[in-house]
Amino acid sequence: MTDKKPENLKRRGFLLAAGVGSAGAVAVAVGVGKEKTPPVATVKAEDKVGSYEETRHVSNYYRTARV
Amino acid sequence: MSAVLERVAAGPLLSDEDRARAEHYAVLSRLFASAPDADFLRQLPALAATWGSSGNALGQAWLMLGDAARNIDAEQLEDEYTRLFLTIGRPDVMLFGSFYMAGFLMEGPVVELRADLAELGLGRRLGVTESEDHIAALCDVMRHLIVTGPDAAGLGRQQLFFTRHLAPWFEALSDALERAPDARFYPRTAALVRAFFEIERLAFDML
Repeated sequence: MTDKKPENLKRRGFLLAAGVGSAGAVAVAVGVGKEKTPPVATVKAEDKVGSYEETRHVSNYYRTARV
Repeated sequence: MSAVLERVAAGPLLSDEDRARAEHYAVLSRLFASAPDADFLRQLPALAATWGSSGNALGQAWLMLGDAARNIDAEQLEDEYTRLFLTIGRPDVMLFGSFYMAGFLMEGPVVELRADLAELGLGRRLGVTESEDHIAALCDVMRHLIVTGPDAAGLGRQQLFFTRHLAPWFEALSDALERAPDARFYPRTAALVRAFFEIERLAFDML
């Protein structure tokens, strides 16, 4: 992480003040917090939330991104 | 194993603000990928309780969206989504960036977008008919870039992608949503679109 750089501290302060800072309470709702889910080779149809897919890493992303 | 996959598998530690950003992109993607189903519709007021606030534009946008979600059911929303976004010919509201950036669908911006996606190792899923500049797809890419790259290099990738593919047209999209005719729900997503992306734009400017 590069949070020690002044511009990043400024940016972080701005995001928090703007209301983008309190994560966690909605972890279940949007699937965040599952980033450590093991990669999968395929994507279930219902996992689709958008239009991108290619290889394994994106398959994994779709799994974690499920809303 | 690709470098990107390793980063996902290792579960990079996201800061609170990056998690919140990723969650916002996930929500925006889901709002526009298809009509919210009953489950997601029920979650929106809970999300609004978390992020809603009268003290800033984003918080106000969330309060409005939570209220909109409580006052419509999934069936009505399906009708509204279909009518606004899927009409054959010229839909009331376009969800594709190239329409706003070039005036037509599938124009130069899509070509540039495909090149940038190829650089990132991303591409369109087989069977998907929407082009890559759909707002939901772009939000998916941003979320992917956030969760896989919270470091300085990753932030640089996020900034580049946002600046090229979302910053030029999110305000026009928000305006179009706000003006959507005979609609009860999607005009009330306009403020969230505008407030969140405006925060993103200002925050990237600080890098």
